Amino acid sequence: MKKKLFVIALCIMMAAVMLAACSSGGGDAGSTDDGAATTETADGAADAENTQTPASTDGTSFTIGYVCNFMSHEWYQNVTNGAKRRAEELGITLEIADANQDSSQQISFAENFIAKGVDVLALTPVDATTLGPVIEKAKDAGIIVITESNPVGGEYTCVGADNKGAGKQAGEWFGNYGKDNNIDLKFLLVGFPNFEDCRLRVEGFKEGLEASGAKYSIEQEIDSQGGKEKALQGATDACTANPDINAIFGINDDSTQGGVQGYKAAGLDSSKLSAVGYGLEGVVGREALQDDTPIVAELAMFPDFVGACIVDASKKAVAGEDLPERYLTPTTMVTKETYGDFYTQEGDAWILDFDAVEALLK
Amino acid sequence: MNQLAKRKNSFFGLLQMDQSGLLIALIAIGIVLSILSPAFFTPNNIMNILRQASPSMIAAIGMTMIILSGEIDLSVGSLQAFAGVLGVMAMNYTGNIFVGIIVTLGAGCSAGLLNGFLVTKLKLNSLIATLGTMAIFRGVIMVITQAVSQPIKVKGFSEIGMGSIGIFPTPLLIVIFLIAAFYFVLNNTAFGRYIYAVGGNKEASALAGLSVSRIKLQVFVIGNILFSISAIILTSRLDSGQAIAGVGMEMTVIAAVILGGVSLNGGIGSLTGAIIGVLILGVLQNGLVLMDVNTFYHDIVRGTVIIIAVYIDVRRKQSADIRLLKESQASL
Repeated sequence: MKKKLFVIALCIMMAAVMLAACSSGGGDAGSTDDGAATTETADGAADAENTQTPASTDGTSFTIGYVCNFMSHEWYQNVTNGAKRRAEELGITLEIADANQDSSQQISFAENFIAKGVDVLALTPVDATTLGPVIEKAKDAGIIVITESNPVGGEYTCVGADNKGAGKQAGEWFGNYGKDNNIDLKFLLVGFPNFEDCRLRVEGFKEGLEASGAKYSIEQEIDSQGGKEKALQGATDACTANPDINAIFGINDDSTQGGVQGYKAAGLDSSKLSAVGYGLEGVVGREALQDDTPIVAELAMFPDFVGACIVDASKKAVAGEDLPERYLTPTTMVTKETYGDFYTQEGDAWILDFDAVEALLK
Repeated sequence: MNQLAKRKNSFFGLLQMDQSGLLIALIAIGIVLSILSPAFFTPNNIMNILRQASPSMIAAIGMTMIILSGEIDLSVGSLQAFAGVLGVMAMNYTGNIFVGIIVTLGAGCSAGLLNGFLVTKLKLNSLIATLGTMAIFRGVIMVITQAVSQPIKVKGFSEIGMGSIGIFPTPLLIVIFLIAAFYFVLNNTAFGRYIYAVGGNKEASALAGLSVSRIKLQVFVIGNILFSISAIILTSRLDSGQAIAGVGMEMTVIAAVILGGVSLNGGIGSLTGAIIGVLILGVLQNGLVLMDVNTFYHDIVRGTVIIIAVYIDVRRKQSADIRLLKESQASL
């Protein structure tokens, strides 16, 4: 009897600890692990079951249902933060669900939003090939569909950066950096070839290098699978095999930093290394750029602004405005010196200046 | 003493009996890679492989003990993130490396108690129980960090994973110490024999008076503390606490341990086999990158080599068994 009571008490304690952890840390993500379509409004007041969709679609008051790809990643957290910020500014209701990298879950959440009768369905595709039928279903229900990052086909517009063009920007910048500093660049490219966006970044980067007229060679390309752990392991091996490497380009912040760590782990002199990352997704990229590291610049994609653009594009679409197939978001090279041009510090947080980013479009 | 006993009692005899097939496979892979890539067989690269394989080798020690006891632990990968991130947060908060290490080890110990409790007290199947804790550990650390990596703000911690003492990487020295200690525990102590016994035949062990539950609980705690030591090295190498650290590590470690000849049914296998298993996978991974083999082919090559290595080992063991049987019959 005592043993049973002990077991029950332990179970209750475990549950209490887990709940406490969840309630203390889960503030902004708006996701749960129970598979339910967890959503939140811009004012954080209601969930999916209770929120009433505003009837008005006059272009100023309407509801966006956004199914994000993977909110456990800093990039998507900042995208959703930016979307929430813009929605609040414009008085638009925004509901968010997290597909958690599961295509079937994404379709279910999209269907839930269709059933609820949102005015705009926004999707960051987990897998673009799976979303055709649900987009048709939404359109049949009179719902405007907007995608982010990857076009699916059939959507009103696709919001996001030009990955190849941005990669080219980074390549040209790095090539010119090599020329200005008299460095014969010998590259390690840390990519993620399974993912089309990342392949395009590397392709663009190579084109940019070529266009810069810099003297360079690509010693090796490795696959980081988008993470620091794999990047570290691969880069250590690659730098051991090619100790002449003195330049690293990574397809995201973690890949770049894993590459730099791998360079050090191979016993090479990091004062001879220059690295450029892609993304400037949040804290990781910012600290790497601001600290004394070999990362000399980052291709900034401004995820908060991408989120804001989802809301802006939705507003324009609801108002009947024609939009291009690709609703391009700006990218630019950011260095330690220019970081402050786009971000301002408020306490521990760094807030993106939307106007400064918008000015890049002009 | 007959020939069979003599052979079993010598170290090289043991190696010949149990792991020579794997060792041959490892050496063969090494020779092939040395021919194909001049960068492979260099002191730097050998140390690089051993440094990289260190977290997996330490985790393999823990996993070997758990599998030998007849259980399995799928939470090893999630624990890398859970224990590692908690340690980094504690270290950043206090500015003290020692506190970070203690918190990481404490997290490992708590995880071991939880896993052991679920398996031995609640009588849950270890595959299911640790599948659950694998998700819980990862989920909790995602919630706490919101998936944002935690940069290490205390200088000196990265030396654990990246530093060297003389020509030897620091993590390698930790691995050597742990292998020696746990080789001794498994082969020369009553506790080691109990682990083999409860894994080999739980009922017979209980009838012989062993407390099967207590031994398994102890094995889970020790195993998970070893996982947290590997988390310290991995975190140090990454120079940050990563909520996605160790994703898929359970498959690498379990594959290496099984490749090393440890039976999934428990009670059969050795630590040296498991370590050679980790090294085979590590060498292969390293060699494929050195040769600049397209990443899409890595899994195919790895899978093929695992099958060939196990096949060589099985055939060698079969012929050794036949030879020993003949020798023992001849000695009668």
